[in-house]
Formats: sequence, structure tokens, C-alpha cells
Amino acid sequence: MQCRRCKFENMPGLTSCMRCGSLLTAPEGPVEVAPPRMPRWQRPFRGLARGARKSGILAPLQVIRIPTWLALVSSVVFFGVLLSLVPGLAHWIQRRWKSVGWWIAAWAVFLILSVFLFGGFLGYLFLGLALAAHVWVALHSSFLRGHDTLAMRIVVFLLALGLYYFVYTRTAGLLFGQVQPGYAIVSVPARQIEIGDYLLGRRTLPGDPNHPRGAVVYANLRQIGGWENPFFPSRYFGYVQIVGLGGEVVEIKEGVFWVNQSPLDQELYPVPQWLLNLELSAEVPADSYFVSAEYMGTGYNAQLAAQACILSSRRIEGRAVYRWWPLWRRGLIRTDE
Amino acid sequence: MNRFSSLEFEDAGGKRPRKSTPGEPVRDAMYFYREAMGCYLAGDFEQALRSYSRALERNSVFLEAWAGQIRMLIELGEYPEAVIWADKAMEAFPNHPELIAAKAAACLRDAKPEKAMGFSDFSISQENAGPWVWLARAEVLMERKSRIGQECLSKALLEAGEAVNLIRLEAGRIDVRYGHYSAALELLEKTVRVWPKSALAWYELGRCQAHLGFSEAKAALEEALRLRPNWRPAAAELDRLKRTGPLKRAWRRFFAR
Repeated sequence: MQCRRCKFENMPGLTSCMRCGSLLTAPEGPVEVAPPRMPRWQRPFRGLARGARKSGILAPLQVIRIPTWLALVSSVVFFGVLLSLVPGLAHWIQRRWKSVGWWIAAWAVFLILSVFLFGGFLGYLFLGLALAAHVWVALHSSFLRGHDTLAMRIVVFLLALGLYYFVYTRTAGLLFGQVQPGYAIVSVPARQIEIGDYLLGRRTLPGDPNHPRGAVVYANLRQIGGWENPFFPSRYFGYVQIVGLGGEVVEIKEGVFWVNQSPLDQELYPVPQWLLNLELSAEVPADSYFVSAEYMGTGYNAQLAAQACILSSRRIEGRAVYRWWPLWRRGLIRTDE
Repeated sequence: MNRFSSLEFEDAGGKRPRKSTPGEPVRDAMYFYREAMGCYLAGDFEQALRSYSRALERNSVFLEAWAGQIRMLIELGEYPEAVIWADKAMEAFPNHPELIAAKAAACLRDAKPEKAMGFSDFSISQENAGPWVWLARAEVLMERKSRIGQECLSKALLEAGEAVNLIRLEAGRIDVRYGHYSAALELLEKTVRVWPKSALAWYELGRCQAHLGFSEAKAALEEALRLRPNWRPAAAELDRLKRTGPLKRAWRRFFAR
């Protein structure tokens, strides 16, 4: 029987060529004849990758030569976990990146979702999932290959989780240090702000005297007007609205704010529920603001309420610029300067 | 019914072969191979791939069907799959030059020219390097803008033997792919004379003529569409041709090579 490839004349009955090893007759049993196919959704991504290869963008990566000692070091648990602070770095050094490709994709998706939904339950849930996926990838680079004990795995997983949690919070601090998130404790219908909305703001220096009327500011409400606020038992931060500036006289008459004898627009400066039934008049000190916030409870006297509404400028830590949550009301907060 | 027709043999298994009616072709591996070739010449690579698979179902050591499958995967733009499948085919045909050449072609299309050159070198170093090996070599060299590419195409045509028409078509397509339209024109014109019912050949000829600014391009593309109605690439090419202005056509006519 002649081999079709090398033309070698084989003995009858042989199943493969004695010279080149090619099969002469079909093997017994089923043979896989359907080739693997590319999922449709991969087509554009592959096209992009191909374009990147053609343009030479990836060329610098291809010339990087990883020394052998680094690959060996990366397989030690501690270094594997440490290197994987950049997701998949240890795997990339070990040339095993593909084995965790999907995990890294999942991590990226969870992280993006957690940022997108930050401030709500889902945001924290996805952040937790991203953290867990990241830790799993890190442990996969070295630890999971050598340790089969469940208890050991759990302990190391938790240790790595702690380390990564620390790294995540620090990184978030570095990246978003100037962003001040917080919940609104005032309702301003004209600016589409409701109590409980999650707002993002820009950090400001304590004692900044330049906040305009109407600005929604992030403040520490524990001590207002230099005394312990009786309505909040512990440290309490939130976004409140500035109604009166330093040196002005603020009054509440028939459910409307008056500043220096002039009434304010009720839509832009709504009087909080707890102040509606009070006839209040207060002179705002030079380094303070009169703020509107929806405190809990009703029936406080006018003097106490006036003191509670005066906020030292040192207590203000940021100014709202964006409605982040709920999703359907996301948008910029415009303040009339 | 004769008296032996109900006897059972060990190799009969659970399935009985369907009796073919007189005049109906035997649906063996060769039948499906021919069917695949027909689909390929019509530019229906998806259907050709299926037919190659069916040919392999009948005969799993049918090298041409394995190679055909890999080529169809390349045509369909599924390059990593083509490489995987070439490796699978090489389990049955270790280091077969045609399969290695197919890997080279897949890598080249997937923008991995270094790998492609490696596979091409390896395929040429094997014994009995056939026309497909030289076609892949030509493609690899043309990608590098080497003039030797054309010589490799000539070598492929010399090695083609009975498959000369198919190799000529492929050589023409490679020339079109790398912008050697004048060289491609001659090859494709010969192909359509041999295979006047091949939509693929007409389509490639039409493309080639369009790039050269020839007015015959329209007729070629229309012929491709007549042979295979609603074929998107041909329709798109024809549409593009119709939108080409006379100035551009004249430019191509005089300056395209």
C-alpha cells in the first residue's frame, strides 16, 4: 500500500506509513470531523487585534524578554500574589495569561459595573465580586497549584482579600481623591435633588468663604454653630443647601425663606418640613452659612432651629456637581452663581 | 429479494446503508468532496466547509478534505481555528507540507507574518512540497513585498498537475489580494474560460478588472451575480463599481498595474 504523502510502498495491512507516519487507513472508532468555529461576537475583537498587530502597536510588547528567574519568582506564593496586584501580571510573566483571561475579563466587567453603580447596593456587590475575582487570579498564579487543603485555601484567600482590600481603598483614594461622594439630606425640586440621592462633589478647602447661595455642599453636621447638634447622635455628613451667606439676616415667614427682607424662590429654596411651622429669624455670622437640611423630627423651638441651621464654613468639605444615583436622574447639578 | 439479503454481519452495526436508487450517485467521500469544490467555486465557503466535513465522515484519511476544511476556515476569516484544525489534521498526516502551508497562510492572514514565514520555511523543507506549499510561500513573500513571490506562483502552477485550474484560480486570487492586477487578470481570464459557471472566478475577475479600470468588470460581476444571485460581496463590488467616477476609472486604466 503506497503512502500518498511520501510514496513509500508499505506492507499490506499497515494502518500508518512506516516512513512518514501518515495514516493509510481510517482509524477505528469515531473521528472528530467538524472543525471548531469562531463565535460571531469575537469577529470585531479579532479584527481589532489583527489591526493592532498589523499597525505594530503591539511590537514593543513582543520584544520584551522575560528573564527566567522572574518567571520562577512569580510562582512563589508571596510574589505571585504581589505581582498580581496588576491583574494577570504574574500569569503574563509565566506565559499562562490565557488560563485566566476570562477571569480578568470578569474582573474588568465587575469593576466597571461597580464604578457605574457606585453608591448603591449593586455597586458594592460588584466591587466585592471584582475584588474576589482579582484575589482568585492572584492565587491562581502560584498558590492554587501547590495547596489542596480547603482550610489552607480559605485562610490564604482571606489574607489576600485583606491585602487587596487595602490596595483597592488606597488606589481609589489616589484616583478619586478630589471626588466627594455623599447622600443628600435636603430636597431641592428645581435641581432635581431628592433626599437620599447619592451626589458626587468636588472637594473644597475647609473655611472657603466663596460658596454661593443655592450651592449644595457636603458638610459635617455634628456640630453646628459651635455646639453639639442634639438631633444627630454621632458624626453625620451629608449634602445640604446654602440659603444665607455670612452677614445676612435669614427669616422664615409663612413657609418661605426671606433674606435681608427679600423673599427667595420657593422652588429653588424650599423650606424643610421641620421648619415649616416656625417663624424664624437669624443673623448669620461672617464665617458661617445658613443651610437648609431636612432634620429628623418636628416641634423644635425657633431659637434652637436657627442655631442648628447655621453652619461654620470650616465644616464644609465639598460642593455637589453631579447627581450620581438614582440612575435615571443622573446629571450635572447647576448652581446659579 | 435474494436469500442472502437478510443476513447480518458484524460490521453492519446498527445502521444499514441506504439503498441508492438506480442512477443516483453514490454518496461517498468523493461525492461530497466534489460537492465541496462546487460550493467553493460558487464562493459559498460555509457550505463547502460542511461538505468537506461530510466527506471526512466517509473517509477520515482523506487529506484533500482536511486541507479543504482548513482553507475554508481561512476564507471565512477564522484563522486561529484554521491553525487548530491543521494541527488536528497533522495527527493523521504528521508534518504534511500542505497542512503546514495552510498554517502559514492562516498565520499570515491573522497578521502574524513571522510565524507564517516559519511555517512556510518548514513546509518547503518537507519532501514532496506541492503547489499549495508554493502558493503559501508566494503569499508570505508578497506580504513582504518580495518579487520572488511571483516566481513562487509560477512554481505552484508548474507543480499543480491535474489541479492546475484550481491553482490558477488561487494564484489569481493571491495576485488580486496583493494588488498585482495585471498578473491576476491573465490567470483569472483563463480560469473563467475553463470554469464559466464559477461565480467565484467571475467575481475575482470582476474585481481585478475594476481595479484596472476595465469596463468589462461590470459584466463579470453581473455574471457572478447571475450565477449566484444575492451574493453580497459581488453585489457590493458591483455597487462600488457603479459609484466609481469616469475620472477614477481612467486613472486606473492608465496607471494601475
